[in-house]
Amino acid sequence: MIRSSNPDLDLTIARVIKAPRSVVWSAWTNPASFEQWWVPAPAKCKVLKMALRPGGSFVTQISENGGDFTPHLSGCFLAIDDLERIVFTNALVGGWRPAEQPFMTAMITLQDHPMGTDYIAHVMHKNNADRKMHEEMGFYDGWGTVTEQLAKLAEQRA
Amino acid sequence: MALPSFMKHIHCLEGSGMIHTRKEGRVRTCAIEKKQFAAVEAWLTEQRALWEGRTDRLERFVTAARKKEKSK
Repeated sequence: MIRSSNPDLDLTIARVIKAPRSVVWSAWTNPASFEQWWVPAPAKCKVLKMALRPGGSFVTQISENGGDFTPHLSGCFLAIDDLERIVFTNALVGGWRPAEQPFMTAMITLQDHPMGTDYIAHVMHKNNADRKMHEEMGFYDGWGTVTEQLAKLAEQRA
Repeated sequence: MALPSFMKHIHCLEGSGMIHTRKEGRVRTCAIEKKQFAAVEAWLTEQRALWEGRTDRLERFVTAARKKEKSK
């Protein structure tokens, strides 16, 4: 696997998840399961398209505060290696058509680990100049909400 | 690097607000815009928090599903 890295534009989240690789894979690739964790509660996620093949469409919607579902992610899968790797981008949409507002490619890798699954999300961004645009778009699950979620999680575990 | 090429880079940085420059006679002084750099860093931090959150929720989802299965 060729993985380019740029510390100013990339981020890597690595986590050991205490569940077998097949369970993590199905949580990611089964739309009904994916909808349950992709966005922070109480927002709701709806998967419109999840065509798990290179060039396959990946489209989700989000509903905040019980409102209508609005576009969230619109992208395309680049690589699907069963139980091992999912690569998608929003630089392209289904069928490799160039997207309107590209900014990232994400590579999800799963490996066996004695405790379960070694889960790595490597996310590469185009540049930081798009930042303002994201703010204007009302980039939803941002800092505040996620921090709150993290706090709740920590409290539950404490 | 030739001066014209160098100036292109400088203008690009200035255009994106990362630096500001001022010219006195033949000397151009460049200064970093700290605020802009901080904003860029904050943006990536936000992206990181978003992905951390997703990974947390995925982890909880699969481990909760496992517990349910075991208790069946």
